Amino acid sequence: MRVTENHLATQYLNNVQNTRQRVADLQSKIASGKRVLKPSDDPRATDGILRFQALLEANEQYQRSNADGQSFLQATSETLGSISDSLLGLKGLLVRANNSANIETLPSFATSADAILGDLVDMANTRFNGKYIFGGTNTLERPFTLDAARTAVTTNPNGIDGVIAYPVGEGITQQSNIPGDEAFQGTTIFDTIIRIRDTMAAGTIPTAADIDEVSAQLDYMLTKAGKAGMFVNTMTANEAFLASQETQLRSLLSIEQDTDVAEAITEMKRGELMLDAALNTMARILPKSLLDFLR
Amino acid sequence: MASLSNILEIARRSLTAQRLAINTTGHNISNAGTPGFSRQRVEFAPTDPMRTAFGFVGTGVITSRIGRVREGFIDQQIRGASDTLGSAASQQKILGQVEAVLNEPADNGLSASLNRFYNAFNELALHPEESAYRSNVLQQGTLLSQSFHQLNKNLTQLHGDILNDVNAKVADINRLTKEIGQLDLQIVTALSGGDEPSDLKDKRDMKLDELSKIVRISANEDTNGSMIVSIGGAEVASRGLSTDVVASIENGQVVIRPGNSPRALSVISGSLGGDVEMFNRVIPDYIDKVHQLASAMITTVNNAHRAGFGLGTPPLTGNDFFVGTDAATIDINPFLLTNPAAIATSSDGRPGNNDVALALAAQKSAMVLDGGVTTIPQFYNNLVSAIGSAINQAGYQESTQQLIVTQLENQRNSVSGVSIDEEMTNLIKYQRAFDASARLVSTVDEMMQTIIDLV
Repeated sequence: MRVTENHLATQYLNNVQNTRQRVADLQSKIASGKRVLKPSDDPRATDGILRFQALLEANEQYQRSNADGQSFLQATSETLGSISDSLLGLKGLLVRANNSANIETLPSFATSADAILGDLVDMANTRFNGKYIFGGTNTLERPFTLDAARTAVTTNPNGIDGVIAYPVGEGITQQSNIPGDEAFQGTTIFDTIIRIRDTMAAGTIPTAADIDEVSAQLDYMLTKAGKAGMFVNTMTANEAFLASQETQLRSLLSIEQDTDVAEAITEMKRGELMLDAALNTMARILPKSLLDFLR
Repeated sequence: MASLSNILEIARRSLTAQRLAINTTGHNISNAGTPGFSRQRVEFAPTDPMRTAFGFVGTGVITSRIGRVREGFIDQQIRGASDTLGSAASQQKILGQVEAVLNEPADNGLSASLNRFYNAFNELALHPEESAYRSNVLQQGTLLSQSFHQLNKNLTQLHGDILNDVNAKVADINRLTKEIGQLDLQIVTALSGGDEPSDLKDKRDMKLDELSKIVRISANEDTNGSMIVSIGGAEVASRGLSTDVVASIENGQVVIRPGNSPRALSVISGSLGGDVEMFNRVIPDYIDKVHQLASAMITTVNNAHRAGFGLGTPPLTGNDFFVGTDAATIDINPFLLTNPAAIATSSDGRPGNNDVALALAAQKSAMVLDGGVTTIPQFYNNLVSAIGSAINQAGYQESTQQLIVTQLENQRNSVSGVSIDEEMTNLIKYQRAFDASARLVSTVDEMMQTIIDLV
């Protein structure tokens, strides 16, 4: 093949251009730390990156849901615990009242029972973050009302039922409240207390059956507090799972997206070496011609 | 008889021939770097001998022809490969612009807007009673609508810009065919006068190369040396005549017709062909996908939203979340913007119920596209990676084709390129011959002097 100066120059320029292009590509990958800066860098990996980014963002959202749900349920559980404490106090009161020696002081027992009733209604109307925790899905309306004569407790006519579910994972929801109708069996607890208070006020000693009834209510309340506590535990476990999932997603995203710096630098060194070699040889060969040797 | 004056004549012919050869060598050297130039060669031939009593006696040299060294076959091959290269290069360029418009993967692309929009409903599900979270949903919805508008606007703009490019290329074609026609006429005229118009032929070849990058051509030389150039079977240039190529838009598609031919070009190829492919098929397809996406978004969100209840007494219900039908018109229902309480979160009208907010967030997993097998986010991801693949494919085709063209150009250069070493060697050769011929003149002169002195 006949080789001309033009041919040498063009080929040399093409080679140097290609090598420079490669070095520049590697340089931007090292500088940005990212292997995929645009879809054409790796279309398959781009799909992965977009999916993992979406999953990560959703994961962060679910972690927030879990944290929120936990604090709401924690408040529910604590309130139910306090209500249990009050019921325990009421039970002690009734045990003491259930003694013919105390018949003189029954009215004061009745007053104490009335105070406990008031406390319970207040606690049943506890708000957390602006929501009535026992309002069911009617979170903005007071669920329980004690009438002025303190003879009856009524519930929100719009209902105090309704489970609230929090999104805690991809397609997974977790109950995050104990509806009022479930926690208080409608108004059964209040009705019981009102009846016993009125009995005592009328001068009748509360019976063992009354005490058993309050005991049963106490047990019931403790199981509900336990249920709320169990939901908290579920969400705590879920949060830990989401956190480990986040770590996994981040490493998957990194595999698709990030530059293998060691490899890229090795590649770049090789490119530089090739560039040096090309420039060096051409600097020797290109200027040579017959002219150099004519006289 | 070999008279002294005959020898003098031989020397004169030689001097002329060597001077011509050195002239051509100079022409070659000075054009060593000129694009499209083919090296020229002076062809020497002995003049007709004289018949004498002693047999044939030589009469010197004559330059029979100054011609260019060129191989038409390589030219044809280069032109054949150039149009495919041009097509791949222009497709890659335009797809690169589409990629830039998409701006993925990034924190502010449509993909991120989609994620944030769906997550905003999950967040609202935690606090359906609070207006701050409602505002967040509206904000993310607005950003999403804007992302759709922006993407649609940029793609439509890109689509329109291709048309400018098409018109510029058609103008280039028409300019080139006109120039080729004129050059062809000059060449044919020169040839008929018996001259070899090497430089004009180089020029014509270069214009043909340029033309073949824009559109697929066929160019064949007839017996008179005229180049018949045709596009899609219709003659567009030869012997001073040229016919314009016309681009027009019919039913939203660019149609290219050579001259007044009623038949549109089916295969265009070249950079013009790449543009037309992008304008007629590829970009509209992408725009259509974006519309499909927006439309699915509007339908799924509205269907879930309409059945739900917002806040208020009585709770607001029956409202659409989005208005509009596609990526250009998608927007948040203006009623919601002024009444965030109307954003539906509840399935029964109770403020704490978040069933509808959850259902809205779950729309991201609903298989509603591609005939019910693809979710909205995945549909978009597929579009993004399809564009990435298309760029890679065009890029691959471009680099392969570039390799072929470079190889062919090397071959052409090997045949037609100027080698300085070679020209210098020739220069020395011709100079020596010139020196020797001059010595011949002085020798003959001395011989004549000798004879004159005898008298």
